[in-house]
Amino acid sequence: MLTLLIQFLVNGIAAGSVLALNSMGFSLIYGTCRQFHIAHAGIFVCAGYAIYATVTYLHLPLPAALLVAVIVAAALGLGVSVLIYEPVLRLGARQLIVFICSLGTLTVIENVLRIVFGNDPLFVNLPALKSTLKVGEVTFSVLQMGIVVMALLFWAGIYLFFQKTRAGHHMIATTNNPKLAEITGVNVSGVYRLAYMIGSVVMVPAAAYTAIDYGAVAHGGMLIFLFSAVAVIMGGIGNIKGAIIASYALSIIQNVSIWKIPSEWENGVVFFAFLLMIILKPRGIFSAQQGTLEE
Amino acid sequence: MGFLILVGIYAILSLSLNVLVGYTGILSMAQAAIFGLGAYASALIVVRLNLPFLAGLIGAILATGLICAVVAIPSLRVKEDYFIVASFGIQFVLNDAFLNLTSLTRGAAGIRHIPHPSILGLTFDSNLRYLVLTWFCVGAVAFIVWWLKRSPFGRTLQGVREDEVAVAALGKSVHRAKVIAAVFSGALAAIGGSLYAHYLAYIDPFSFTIHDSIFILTLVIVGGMGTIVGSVMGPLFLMGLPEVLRFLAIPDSVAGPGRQILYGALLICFMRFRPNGLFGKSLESRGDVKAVDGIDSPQTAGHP
Repeated sequence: MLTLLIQFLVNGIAAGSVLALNSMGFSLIYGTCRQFHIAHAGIFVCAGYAIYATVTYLHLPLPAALLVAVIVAAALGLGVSVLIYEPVLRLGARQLIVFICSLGTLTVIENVLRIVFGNDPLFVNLPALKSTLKVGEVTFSVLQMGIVVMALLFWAGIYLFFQKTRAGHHMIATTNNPKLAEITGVNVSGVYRLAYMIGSVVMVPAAAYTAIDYGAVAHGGMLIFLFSAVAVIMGGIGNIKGAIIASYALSIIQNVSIWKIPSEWENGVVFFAFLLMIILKPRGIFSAQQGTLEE
Repeated sequence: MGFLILVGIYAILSLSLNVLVGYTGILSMAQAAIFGLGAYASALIVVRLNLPFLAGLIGAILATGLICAVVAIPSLRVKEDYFIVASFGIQFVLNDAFLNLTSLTRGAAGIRHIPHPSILGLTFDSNLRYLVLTWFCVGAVAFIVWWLKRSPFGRTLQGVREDEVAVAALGKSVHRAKVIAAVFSGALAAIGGSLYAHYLAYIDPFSFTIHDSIFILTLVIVGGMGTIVGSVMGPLFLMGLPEVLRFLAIPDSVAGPGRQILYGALLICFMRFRPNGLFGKSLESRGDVKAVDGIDSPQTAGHP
């Protein structure tokens, strides 16, 4: 019984790392630009297909595939921001209008991918990553270990970016008060573009994990995007640490719930948690540290 | 003929979503699931309980309205992006319910042999009769929406859309107004659901997915948020377009995604160039920025 619980916990931590990488990316974008960037889900899927295509057609190893996916994700993040959002924002559009544009972009991306790659999941063939280790009765794969390490590395990377770099300071300034940041000489639209690029790149390891473990599929991005949105809102908007903690909490709850609740309701568990949060603490669980929610 | 029946059903859905999106300013991504609730309720009442069509229709309206109230009361406490996430959640969970409550819904197999509607001895078994029934309902729903828009409550809803604080300052409950709008919207969508179930005689969970919700939203936006004519013409235009393009002889594997790409591109283009939709009143013709139907128009930016 206990082993089973530990096994669910291990799976929860691996899934939590995948979600945390997604949440870090979305938190960077949502915290900085305040756009409900659902096209992010499409970029996630594109990164997965980029890895599939590089490994399968070009026969290159995973690090090269990750590099290709990073370039694809950064280019798409920048492209969507510059070509789709900026024109409507220049006309003074509200966030709702930008969201609808984003939804249109996601629809276009998903269906272009369906035409190019078909409807069936495409698995990246890297058997070495699927080999499992056994500690006592608990098993985990090399892939699961890799994603946990990746999540920690990216967390550290984002922390250093905000603490040590000039661009990071500009991003914090923009997040807290875009008008004041502009006055003090921060290139706010440049910061927004950078946020879209970095946010897209951060989720690449998660996209790789998903493409290897579950296969790349055109509609595969929306649900994990929504979970990451739930985690970001729960963690407090703009609070990356909160988003990461919420990601792990949600994934562990989701995986452990399989013990008692039939697995076909596991998506319901996450949204139910969200509904509970709305009722009990509508501003997010960790929002106390964060004073920028009020306009 | 079948095409026009489906256009009528989607016109009802478009009108129902417009009550939320166009009048109240609430963007919901769950309309297809609400539509599904109506379809399942009506089908189950008629097939399982052997009751007549009218009982199914009225039962569907009541059941869907009730479930909408239960769901809307907690989720409409939050707004904008938060509510968008909540409505996605409602869509996914309801669709999971259609799929997994197999003892009630028969899961992926769906409910078959839903009989043709029969009202006072008149059976709607031909396409022509069904077309008349459907468009009678479209007319009724359009009238209800029109009446709602002009009622004092409708003005409260438009107030909620423009400025929630002002409505609250007048002593009206914003939350209650939103919940009533959601119940109204759900009840109207249930009429569409009932007509859909009895027209196709077969329903399964795959007709009520998130992609269908996005499609219904596209109908509202292309037709014009907050316009009744737009909600009827939007489906005619968007569903007619692929029928016309069918003559281009595109292979099936490309035609389905191609249609979706077209809809996605239309969403972007309308937001960019004509956010009021095909039938939304443009600013220039009204000359009154405050009275514009639909949401803030970007065109105001350049012309103070």
